[in-house]
Amino acid sequence: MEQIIQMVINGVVLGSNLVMVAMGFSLLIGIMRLIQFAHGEMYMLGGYGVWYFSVRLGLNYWLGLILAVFLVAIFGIVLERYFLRQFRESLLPAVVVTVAWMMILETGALLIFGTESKSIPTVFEGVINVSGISLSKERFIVSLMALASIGGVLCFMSKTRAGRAMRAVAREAETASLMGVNIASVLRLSMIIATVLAAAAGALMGPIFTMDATVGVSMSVKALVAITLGGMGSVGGAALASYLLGMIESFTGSLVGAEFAMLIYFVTLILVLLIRPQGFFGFEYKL
Amino acid sequence: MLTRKKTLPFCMLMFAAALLFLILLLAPPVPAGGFQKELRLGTSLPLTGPGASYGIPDKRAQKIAVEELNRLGGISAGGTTYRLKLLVEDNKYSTKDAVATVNKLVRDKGVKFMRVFGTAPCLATVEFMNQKHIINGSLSSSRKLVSPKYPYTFRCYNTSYEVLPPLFSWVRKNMPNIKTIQAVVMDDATGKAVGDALLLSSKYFKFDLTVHYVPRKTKDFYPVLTKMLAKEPDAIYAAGGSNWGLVFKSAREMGFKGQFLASTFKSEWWEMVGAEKLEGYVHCEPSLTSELVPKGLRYYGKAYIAKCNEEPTGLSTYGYIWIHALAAALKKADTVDDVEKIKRVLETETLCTPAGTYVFGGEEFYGIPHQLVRPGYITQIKGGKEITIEVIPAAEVFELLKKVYR
Repeated sequence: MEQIIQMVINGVVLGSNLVMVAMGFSLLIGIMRLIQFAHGEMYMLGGYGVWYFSVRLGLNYWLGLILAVFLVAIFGIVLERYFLRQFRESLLPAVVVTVAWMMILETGALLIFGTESKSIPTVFEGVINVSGISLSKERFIVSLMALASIGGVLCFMSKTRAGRAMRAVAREAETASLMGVNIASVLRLSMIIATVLAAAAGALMGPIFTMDATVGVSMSVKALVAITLGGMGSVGGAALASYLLGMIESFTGSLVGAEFAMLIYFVTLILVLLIRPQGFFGFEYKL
Repeated sequence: MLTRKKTLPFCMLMFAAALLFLILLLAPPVPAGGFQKELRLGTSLPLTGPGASYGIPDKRAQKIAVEELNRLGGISAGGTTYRLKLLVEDNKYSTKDAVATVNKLVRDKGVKFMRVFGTAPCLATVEFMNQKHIINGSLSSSRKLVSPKYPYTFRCYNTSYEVLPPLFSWVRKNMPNIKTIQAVVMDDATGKAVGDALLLSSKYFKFDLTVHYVPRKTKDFYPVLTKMLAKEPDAIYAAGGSNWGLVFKSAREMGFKGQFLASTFKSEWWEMVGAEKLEGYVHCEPSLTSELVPKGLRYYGKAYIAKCNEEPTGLSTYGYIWIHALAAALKKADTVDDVEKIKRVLETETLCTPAGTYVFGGEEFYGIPHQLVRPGYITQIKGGKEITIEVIPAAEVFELLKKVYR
């Protein structure tokens, strides 16, 4: 029984590692109507950013996190405005551009930061141990933050004016424009939110998992699986699917073998798509 | 006006000048430092990607050895003095890039002496190098590579097959409370070889050992550790990439208080894991500051720190040893061209080098004496430092291997 509870907790942590990236990815698909393959690199840049500021420059970790997220968000704004906006709803050019950026960012990171994994000192020391079930305080707090971010994004999308505008653009951009919604602002805001989520995830997970230049690609692949399962453009669906995939990875790793995790991921994806091709919550943007 | 008497010496002078000019034009360039020729050594190793944390130190180690040898006058063989030049290519630990880089070094650059790093790259290139009679001081974990089928491939690296018996023998003697071991290794060619060696050694030393395989790039070890720790092992053995320090960090977080065992240690794990969590950790690489380790290797450790501003890995000593062993073999064979003679020297002679004294043996296990024989090292982390606490002589290691793999 203890082992099962431990596996569930491990799954929540693994899901938390993915959920912030997947939600941002889903937002971009829903609103920008393109698959941003370089989105995982924002996670990587967030992790490297906090390493640079807190380890290399010796700043406080939280200050380093804020700076890292801020700088990656600025980069995201530039990327959206000059490299992605014109490819909205154009599949092939968008794929080419975003994959190119993925390669540029990964190679750039390798050249700048080198090939060694970078470790960031633990921020929250200590372990929570309850009836034989263990979890580091670090993982516990970061998982809580990830859950809070889900709530934050969903509240923003449903309760704020900007959020409603984003939902309107996701549903029907032309009509939203005619109703006075500034499309350019909405696209920029969606990019900011997505990039901030991904960079913050990288910065928060950096002390737990270390950071290297190749982590962005694997995050993009996992996020793509999550949003496909959850339903393209569904932020809530992406969140649910992220935790489902976290559970799959945890239970597979503990019961079968970690080397089978990716296999099970994709088998699950295929099975769900066969039964429900639009994913859990379909293509249109929904909460 | 030139008279007949004056023209003859003038013509002779002009002729001598022209002859001298021709000789200088046609004479081969003299390498800097007074060497007569240059001898190219090639190395294909991972400088980017997941294997880079092992490949980069090996490259540096080889370069340090080459620079040392050149400072000492290079290699004299067959009446010619050679300056060594190391040509380096990045194989990214992939078979495709390994083939491309080895082709480039052998075909385009005319290299006859190679060091290929990595099990998959070695397996991908061994047939080609065999055909071309290229002497390869490989670093790979696969038993297949040291074989009469590949008479030009040597292994300048002690695999898990060589290091585990001395380690397990030491654990049996000094930690009698350890009965069960859970091991986690990579699910690639190297990891499978490590897993095989673990099972063979544990069978002989009667440890109850289970091996778990995870992808090399794994960062979250909680899932596999949940499975491992459910068995309440006395020790955890881990062998993987540079981020595998997370195995030890996560194990301590999950409440594991037992012994850590491994084949190596990486200096970045101090920060990644914390000195406290690593206390008591035992591995099989020499600590290059320990008095028990040969002087030549300690010198190498200092040279590495001076040049690279960081500590060398224990694994990188093999790159240093290979260059010196090869240089010693070339000197003894007194040739750089007769590959068969050089190969015989490597197989049969004791090679005295600045890095220590080495032989290639292992005919009993591999059918060909192409496995580096070196002492077994037991190094333990105590008080935040790596200390080599025991050195098992090479002859004793070999006797042990005969018993374990009988």
